[in-house]
Amino acid sequence: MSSKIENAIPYKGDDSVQTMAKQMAWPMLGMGVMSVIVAFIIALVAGNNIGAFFSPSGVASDLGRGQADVQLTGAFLFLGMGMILASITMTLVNIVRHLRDSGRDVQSALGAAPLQLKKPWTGQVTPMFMMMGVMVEVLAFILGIVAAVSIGGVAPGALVDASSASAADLADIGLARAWAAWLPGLRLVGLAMILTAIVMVLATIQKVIRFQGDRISELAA
Amino acid sequence: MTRTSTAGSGAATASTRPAGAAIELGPLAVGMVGVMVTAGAFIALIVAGIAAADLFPATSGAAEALKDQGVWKATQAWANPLGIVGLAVLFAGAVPYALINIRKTISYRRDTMATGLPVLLQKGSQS
Repeated sequence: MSSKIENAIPYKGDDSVQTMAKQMAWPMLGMGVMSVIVAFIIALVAGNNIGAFFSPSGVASDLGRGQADVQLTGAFLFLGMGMILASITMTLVNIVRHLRDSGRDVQSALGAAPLQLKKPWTGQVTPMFMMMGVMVEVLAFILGIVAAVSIGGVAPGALVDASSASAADLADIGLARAWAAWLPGLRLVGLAMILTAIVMVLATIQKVIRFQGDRISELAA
Repeated sequence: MTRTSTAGSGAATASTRPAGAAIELGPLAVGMVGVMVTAGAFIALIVAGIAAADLFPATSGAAEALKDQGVWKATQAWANPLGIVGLAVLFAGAVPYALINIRKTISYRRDTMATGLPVLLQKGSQS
């Protein structure tokens, strides 16, 4: 290998993370979209239940089901959004892969040794940020289900009039209300982490394109 | 060789090699601001959650319960939008910044190709 370009290394194929991005981008998008659709359907059911409670024939159990459905809606919605953003991250990683392979083909056509840019630090930390973000979304999903089960298990009358609630019902209501306060924040943190991963892949793409320009100049010199 | 662009604004500009800390770290710095804003909102919402949990059952006096309810509702009112603001910083700040950097780098590669390809073609025809 004869190159004066910084961080130029001989061409290598995909590493394990890139292989995962290649295989998982579309399935992840599909799962994310399905999760968002499920969330929307649950939201419709929640709206129906809460509307039924406020109708003349409404009963307290409608409110309980509605409140449990609201918790489920948030859980599925943000899990889906996390998966969709993770899928975008993987698609951008696939663009990096294609840029690298296109560079190899052009260099080979010119009779030069195919070189590639050594994975920059932005590329190294991208999967970590993305996986952390997805794990935060999965954790928030599980906690959202727990909150939904808690509020769903409360006696219907206790939801309407808290003064008539038993100690166990009050504890369940408190858990659901408290978690409903901070779970949205946790979900947003997860999305912010995945978005940071997207910014890092974009920075990696920029470095790869710059490397290609440097390599063309070097071959022409 | 100076190459003029017909894309975008059409301004005749020669691209320099995009490098330096501003190009490398700028989008990431903006992104980190967004993450920190969102994390700040999350911490505030934990406080709101603690205040909400204190109300079920309300073991303290009426005044304390009223204070907890105020913290719970008021914090939720501003902290949720603050979290969205953090995401907006990422969407509207870091991502466009990174995309602009990519555009500049593509211009740089265009210039190197415009300069280098004729030389490479000449070398190929001579061999």
